[in-house]
Amino acid sequence: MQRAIEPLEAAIHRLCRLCGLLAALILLALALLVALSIVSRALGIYVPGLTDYAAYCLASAGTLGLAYTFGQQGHIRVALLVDQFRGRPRYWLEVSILGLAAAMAGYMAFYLVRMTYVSWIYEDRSDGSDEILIWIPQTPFALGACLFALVLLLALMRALLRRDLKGLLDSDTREDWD
Amino acid sequence: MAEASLAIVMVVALLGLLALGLWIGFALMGVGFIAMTLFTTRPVGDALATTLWSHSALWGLASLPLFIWMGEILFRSRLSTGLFEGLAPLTRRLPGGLIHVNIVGCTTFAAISGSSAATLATIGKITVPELKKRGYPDKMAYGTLAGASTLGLLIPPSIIMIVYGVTAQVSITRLFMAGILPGLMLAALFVGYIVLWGLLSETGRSLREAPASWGERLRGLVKLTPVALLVALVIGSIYGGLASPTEAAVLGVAGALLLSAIEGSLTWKQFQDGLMGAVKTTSMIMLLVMGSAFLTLAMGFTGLPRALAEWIGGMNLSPWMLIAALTLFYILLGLFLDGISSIVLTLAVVEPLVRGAGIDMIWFGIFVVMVAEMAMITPPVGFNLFLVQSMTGRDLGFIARAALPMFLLMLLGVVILTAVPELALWLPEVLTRN
Repeated sequence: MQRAIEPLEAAIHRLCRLCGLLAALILLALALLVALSIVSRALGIYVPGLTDYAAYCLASAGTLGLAYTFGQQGHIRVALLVDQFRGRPRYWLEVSILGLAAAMAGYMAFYLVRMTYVSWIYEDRSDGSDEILIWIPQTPFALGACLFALVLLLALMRALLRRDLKGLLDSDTREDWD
Repeated sequence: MAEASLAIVMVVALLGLLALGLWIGFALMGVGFIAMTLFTTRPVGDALATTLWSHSALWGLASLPLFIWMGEILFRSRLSTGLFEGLAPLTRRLPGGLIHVNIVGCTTFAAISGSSAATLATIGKITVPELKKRGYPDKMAYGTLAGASTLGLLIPPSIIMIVYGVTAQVSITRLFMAGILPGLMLAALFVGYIVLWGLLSETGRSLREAPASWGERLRGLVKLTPVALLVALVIGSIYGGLASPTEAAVLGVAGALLLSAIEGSLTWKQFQDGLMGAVKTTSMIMLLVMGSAFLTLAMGFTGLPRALAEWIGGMNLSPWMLIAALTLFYILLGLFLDGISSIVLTLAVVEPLVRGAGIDMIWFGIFVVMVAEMAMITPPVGFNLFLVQSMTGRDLGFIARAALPMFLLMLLGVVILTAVPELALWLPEVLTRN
């Protein structure tokens, strides 16, 4: 069992980085789309749907970044009570919270995939001026939630195998991006 | 009273999930889940999915990551040094001396940054060592920094106003217009407090700085030009009706990148760090926004907010008493939560109540942001206190006591805002007339 820990840690690390990278690229795309809408308006050209595309980018960057933010211990919570515990009780408390979070993320991911699938089956289109097939922007949105659920599940397995809380508490979150 | 017992179940569930240390966004989602299962036969999961989608893919919310990114870029630039060197000759002759740079610096930076954390980190990284070096007492230096940096929330652009605007469905542009005068009023209160300290206290009187020559002042003004240009670009374009907040945010990002490129601090590493910082904060807030959207939907099914609004309405409270009760309520929440969390947590229930009482939702937005500012500096959980703590190494109790006068001044600010609602409502009225 112990041999599984190392690949597990590598997988978590890579997935978090991948999610962060995707979210960052989408954020850049969002900025470019908004810039494009300013420029096109200044030139008097109407490009339909730019604001809708920017909104889709925000949604996808939001869910894709969830796993990365988890890896950086960036999600906020009330730690006042938890911080009173040390040792084993603290370990089991943190593991149960992580389990609950993983279950919720899985639930959320399942229904987002289902929503996307339904949009695809019925070929739903957006109400906005873009009139795009709505499953297209919903796919990365749902994908972000799936990756988040996956990372939480892997982190839960890691915590159970390692029997400690490495990677879960505010310790070293600095990371080099080169 | 089945309704009352169910309400208790939900409050207990919420407090339980929060106290366990579950992420706040998930705690909100969990309570929404419980409420929907108890009150409706509608498929919960599908409602969750469509709500998350429709409340994430919003054009108004798209300004959020951009303003966060802009703050991240400017934090990594040399802007804070320029701000300090520019403001020091202009303010140091006032009683209280260079402490004023904390206030004026935070107020200025708040006008190009959307968060109090970015404001605190940027101004603090220069004023903390400089004030220490010149022998200013820690108590004044850290307290005013923790207090004034909360202006990042009230002075536009503001992340918390964007979140409030999309949650309460009011215009973000109008909120941005409404925030500036109350923000300047608070800044003036802080400055007044420091002047009094400089005149009346023993230490304050002993710390009089030499006046700056006109040449120094002029050179100071030159150093402030980049900041002034950024403020004009972002706030000016919104107030002038030229750009929506999202468009102004992208102008701000471009301006911030250009500024760091000109001063030579824009490396590939800096760019990456800034962008990844923005990703992190954006997703953190998006989880809160998603949780809050689902909780609001679920609360609508329960009918509880309406019942509560009717109950409060039946008590015939005067607006003053209602505001006083809400202030107390938010201060209590603020002891344990940060501002954005307490807003997204409560708005589902508080919004119908406030609308029912005939209170203007723009005014209420400014009110709630001001109370959220106070939450930033109240222990045991006050994010600005944590930031100052990690920056200076002093213990939380000391910083909290140092920031207490700022807290009381903000309370005074809330009273003034309630007595003179035009403080918030006049400017949006004037700017959007025509």
